[in-house]
Amino acid sequence: MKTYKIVSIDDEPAIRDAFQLALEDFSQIEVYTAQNGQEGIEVCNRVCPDLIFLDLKMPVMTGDKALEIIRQTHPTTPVYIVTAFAKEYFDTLTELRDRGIKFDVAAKPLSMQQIQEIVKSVLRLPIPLTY
Amino acid sequence: MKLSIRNFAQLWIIVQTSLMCLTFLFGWFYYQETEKFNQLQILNIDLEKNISNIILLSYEEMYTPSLRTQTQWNITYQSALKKINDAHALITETRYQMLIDLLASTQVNFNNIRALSNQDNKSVFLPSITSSIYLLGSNVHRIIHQEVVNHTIAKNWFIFWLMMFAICMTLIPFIAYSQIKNKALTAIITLSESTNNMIENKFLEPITSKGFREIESLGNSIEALRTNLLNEIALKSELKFEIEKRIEIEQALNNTLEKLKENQTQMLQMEKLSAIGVMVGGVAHELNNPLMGVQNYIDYSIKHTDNEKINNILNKANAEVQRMKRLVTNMLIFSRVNNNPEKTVVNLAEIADRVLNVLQGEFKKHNVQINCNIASDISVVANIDGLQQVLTNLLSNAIFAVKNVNTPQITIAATRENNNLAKIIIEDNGQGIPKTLQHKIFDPFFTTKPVGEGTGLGLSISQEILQKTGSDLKLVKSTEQGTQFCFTLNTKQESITSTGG
Repeated sequence: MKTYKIVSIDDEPAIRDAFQLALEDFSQIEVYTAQNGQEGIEVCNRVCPDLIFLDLKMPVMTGDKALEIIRQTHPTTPVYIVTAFAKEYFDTLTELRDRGIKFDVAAKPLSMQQIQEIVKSVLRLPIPLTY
Repeated sequence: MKLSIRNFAQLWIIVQTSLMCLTFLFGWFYYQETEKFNQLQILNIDLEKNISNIILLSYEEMYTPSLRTQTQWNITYQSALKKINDAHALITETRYQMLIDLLASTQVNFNNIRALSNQDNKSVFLPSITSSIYLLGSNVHRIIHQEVVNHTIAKNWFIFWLMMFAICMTLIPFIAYSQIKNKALTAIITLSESTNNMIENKFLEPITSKGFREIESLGNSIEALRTNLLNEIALKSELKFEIEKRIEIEQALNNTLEKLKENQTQMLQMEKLSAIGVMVGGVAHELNNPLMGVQNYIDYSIKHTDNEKINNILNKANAEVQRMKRLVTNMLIFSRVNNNPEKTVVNLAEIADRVLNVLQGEFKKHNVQINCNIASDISVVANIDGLQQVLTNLLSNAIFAVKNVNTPQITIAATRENNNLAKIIIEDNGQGIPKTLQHKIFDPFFTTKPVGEGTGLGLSISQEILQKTGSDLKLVKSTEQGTQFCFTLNTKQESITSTGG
């Protein structure tokens, strides 16, 4: 059985917990976390994830900068930028789009169900998932 | 010729004094003349006597010479001589000399008579004496005669002078009176009248004055006063005009100040809302993370507990989290309103239908009858999202208001106003908003809904959306029969100005 690796990059422990707890019961899924953009790049390089959940506002390195660098080594990995819709981020996101960097957006807060829905649809997992 | 009062008085005094002096002078001369005349008269009379005595005595001496006669003759001669000498000052030198000579010659002849003893010889000298004496007498007569003439002339002149003097002294008071009357009295009266006229005619007519110099000078002073007064009056009316202008300016400034204050109040209000918006937006964003965390913790816990009681409690926790999410969403909407949305031309009826559709569930749930009176050809200039938000908010509030009414009714209507405005009205038949609360309904976070059911942001957001497009949300009326809100939008005819972003 294929194992899917999901990386959650967020400086808030509650958010990292949320992804971990939401996907804990899926034996096919392994969740890795990182605290900031820099760590996130390292984790992605180490793990080669199938799906990345990325926060924008982080210390050390922000999400958009991290995404740029991750895209250099993982050009096609699905990335969901999980953020609140603030005008500051609109500009950043627009800039990323203009530069051809692909990503999707999901608005916080995400419930457990919503997280599971996203994962299922992106990884095209068969329904039902095996617990 | 400007005569001053002083000069006039001086002239008068001088003239009168001169006349008096002259009169005295002439009087004095006349007196002297009369004295002279009298004295000569006396001389004449006295000499007559002497003359005749001399002749008699000469005859006597000739015919009966005696010592007595000689002595008498000498006495008489001396007396005559003395008299002539006494009158020396009164007669001319030549005449005096003549008289003396004549008298002396009589003495010579008398002495000759006395010296001679022959009577015939004596009689030779007698005619000489006689003729000398007669010549003396006639000379004295002539003197007297001349003197009479002189005296008469002097008398005539003096009388003439006296007449003139009398005339002058009679005329002078009249002249003086007339001068004073014209140049002083009349002049003063005229000046006084003229001044009164001047005052009545508002100082526009000049003062003229004629009379003594002092009075003319007074007139000139009053004239100068008048021109000064005219200047002052002109200045005063200039000042008044200036003051009126300033008052106008002050009023205009006050009006501007009022408007500025109003504007300032409005702007402060908008800034407050803006500031609150920004703060609220910041808080909302910050809340999203912990909300997500808590949500997922709860979800996980619900999934992993079999305990019914714990499950219940966790569900309640979840409900609270949902509530928080709704609040955050509303807060974000509130803060997002500060952006400048685009405006487009939209069909009002379409947008209203859309919103009514979305709320259909709620309408059915509370049995609310909806009346929609919007002409299908009204097109307005608005931001679609904003307009939808406003209508949604107003209709939601209306639903809440009619919840407990017997036949709940909500009306949404639109009418054209002027050429370029459409007025949208939303009315319900609920119980109305209490008068004491009506001024608060647009305040952010103010709500009459029970806890958990409303954020209190709906009306303040709606009003801000409308104010940003130049309109305004108004509570038209609210009684126990119902409530009505209205606002206006620009219709399509007006060209879209660049107020949108």
